[in-house]
Amino acid sequence: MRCETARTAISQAMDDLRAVAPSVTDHVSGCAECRDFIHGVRRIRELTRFEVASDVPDLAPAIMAKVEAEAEARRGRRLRKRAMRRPRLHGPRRRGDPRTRRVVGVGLAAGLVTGAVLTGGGLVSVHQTDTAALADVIPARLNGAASTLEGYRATFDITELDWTRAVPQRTFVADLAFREPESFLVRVHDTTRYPSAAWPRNDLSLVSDGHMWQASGPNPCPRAELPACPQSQPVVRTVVDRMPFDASTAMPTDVIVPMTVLAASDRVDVVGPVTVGGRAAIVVELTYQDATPLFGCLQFLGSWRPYYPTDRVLVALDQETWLPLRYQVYPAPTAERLAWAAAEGLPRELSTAPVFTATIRSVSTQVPPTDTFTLPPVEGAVDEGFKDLPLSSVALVAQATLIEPKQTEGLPVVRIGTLARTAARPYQAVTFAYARGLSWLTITRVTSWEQQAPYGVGPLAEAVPLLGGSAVALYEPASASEPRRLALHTDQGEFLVASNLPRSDLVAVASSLPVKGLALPETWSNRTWYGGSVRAGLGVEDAIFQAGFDVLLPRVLPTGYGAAAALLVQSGDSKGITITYRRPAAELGDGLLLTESTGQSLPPPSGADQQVVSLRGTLARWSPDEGRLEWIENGLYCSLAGPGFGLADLVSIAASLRGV
Amino acid sequence: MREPEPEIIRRAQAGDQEAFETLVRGAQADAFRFAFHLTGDRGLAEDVTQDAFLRAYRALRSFHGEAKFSSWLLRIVRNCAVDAYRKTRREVAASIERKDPAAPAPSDDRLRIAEAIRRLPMELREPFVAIEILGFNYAEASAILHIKTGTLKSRMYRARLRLMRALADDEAAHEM
Repeated sequence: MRCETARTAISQAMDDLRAVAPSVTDHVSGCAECRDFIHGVRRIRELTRFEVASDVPDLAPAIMAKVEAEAEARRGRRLRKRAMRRPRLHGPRRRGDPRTRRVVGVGLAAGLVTGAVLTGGGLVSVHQTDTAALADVIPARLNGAASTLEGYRATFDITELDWTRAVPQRTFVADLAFREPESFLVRVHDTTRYPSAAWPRNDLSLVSDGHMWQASGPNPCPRAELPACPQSQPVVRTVVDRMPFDASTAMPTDVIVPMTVLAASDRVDVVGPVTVGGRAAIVVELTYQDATPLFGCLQFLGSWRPYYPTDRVLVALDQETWLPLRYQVYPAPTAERLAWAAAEGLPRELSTAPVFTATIRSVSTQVPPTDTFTLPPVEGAVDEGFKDLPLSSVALVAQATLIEPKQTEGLPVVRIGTLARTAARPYQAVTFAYARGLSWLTITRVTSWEQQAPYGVGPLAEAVPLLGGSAVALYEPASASEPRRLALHTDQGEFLVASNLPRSDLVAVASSLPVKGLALPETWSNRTWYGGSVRAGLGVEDAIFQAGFDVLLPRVLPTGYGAAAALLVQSGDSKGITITYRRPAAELGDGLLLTESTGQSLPPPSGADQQVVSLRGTLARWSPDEGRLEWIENGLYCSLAGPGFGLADLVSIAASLRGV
Repeated sequence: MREPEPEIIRRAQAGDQEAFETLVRGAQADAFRFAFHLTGDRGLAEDVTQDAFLRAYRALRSFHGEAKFSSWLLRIVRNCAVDAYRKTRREVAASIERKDPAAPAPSDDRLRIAEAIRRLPMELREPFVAIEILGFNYAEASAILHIKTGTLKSRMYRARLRLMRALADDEAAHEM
């Protein structure tokens, strides 16, 4: 055999991940030059895959600005052709006239404060209850407070440190208003003294009456480009015919009652009692990653300083009303955080001093008038296409669509309507929205569904039994962009229950629908794509059993985490399994994703800041941007990703992997 | 490049800009690196990447999933890179030639391999970047580059041989 023939075969085998023919092996064993060739090509692969990739700029803002300009031009052409419509609804029957409610003072530090005492949440005396007991009752108290809150007005004073070196401190005043079921307003006034008028002010506004939604303010600007930032021009985004409780045009009401994480947890981490503005409060702690919904009322537009996912957020909850009185961000005390801060250009920040503080100046639970949330018709608005039906037709529509739950957790219907089939949305949908206070629930029935996948949840949704035991549904916890969801595949169409209520409430509501959740059709669970096939919809134990190789499983997991769902992947001769571990209520950081596959080499590096770490007797690649550890172990490719976790946490979990 | 969920692609095709941004964020690193290796110029690679995503946005409805999304996108990147390279090759060639021959040799392996790749002729650089650096297989690289797999295999071998020699020469020069 000629050397060139052998080397071509070796080069090809490296790319195909196959063994070379015996004749090539025989040749190489007697040819030192070909052995050098093997050494050389392996070194090149090591250099390109184990060494770091070149630094990659974030081009997404520039690309999206161009895309948005193009889309805006298209929309403008389309929308000029039709008149603006704004449907009016008969609202639900009010529980009493807000003007007659009892008004009491809530004596906070700076400002006139009036409001009604919330009775739904009840009282828990911090002096009589230890922190462990409080940790168990706070979620229920928050839920109680949320479901009884008919209206809310508050003003927060905000201080943010270290935005840029030229502007080390910024201050804001945020005014908030809420009226059930879905009217919301936040106006952020930037009160910072900037070095010059060239600096963009973070004056923001978000207003919605549920049907129409509008956000305005400057576009985000990379801090490095400040103050000259052409893309930070003021923008106005308007949506009309909005779906009730639409996640893509969300109303960041967690700042009023933190429903996404705190109210849905089994328990919360209580730090202890504190006094804020003369009010007795209880401080609870969560990571910044879990607390991101609290910042949604600020970060929908404008430029803000970055935070590390494991930074600590301390939330002071009023002991009587359970409304947040203050929330603060403290830097996480870890070396990784220090490295991240240096890369972000932040100064050294102490873990004992807050870098962000929002303190309530005044609060009232009087119901704001409806015109607080009124928006004028706007040119160039995006039409979501939701057509309201009169509430007088609820019974008729419910009967026709089978959206007749026997159980809605006491929430009355506030809106019903339809989404017509369009080219961009090739299905029809009917949605019922139920709400009381800040608590809400939607049930959507989808027909003409042609996709071979469940509506509203992804391939790693968790199969959960419904009450009664004979039906199943697919559950996904709340994420950074979606609420908690439960999907049912039935012989009457696809049903999706979405809510900010706890998971058990979703299960109860779905169980009370007059339809039966069926297992997904085989053709939905087994998807074939260009590179192979994916089998979804399996329980974790079934997936491990059917993987076809010895799966390694963690013996150590962070508190609250459990295996939720799994996928099996077959690509050529390679078999793989992906298992997701997450918390049942909310997973704002994507949870943990464990992937193992046979016959796969280490994928190419994807970032400039990757590092090599020692793990399980071999070398692993650590990608901080993705929070991912990857290594090859006895021919098995392993990847453990947890964007909200630090390297030390992931190494501990990876070190605990054992065969089943 | 990790393939995006079909639902994300579908939403982006329906005009959902958040979904398109998800596609951009998931693919921009590989798109940029591919463009950078093809053009050999960082600023040009940024322009090419932006141009490619804008073209992808306009053409998204024509993507029907016959190939991987990543292959489809990188083919656009490659076309944009070729266009840009043609337009600017004189300037790029001149900038390469202007490089000071007395400049110190790359001080670590990363810089050495990057420089060696940059010196590969385009017909060898394209397959090497697609297969070795970005991790595509022969069939996918064939779809991206419009080159038959047999030709790709032969070019990969030649690219590796050249790189090995370039690294050896570089090390020898560095030791002198």
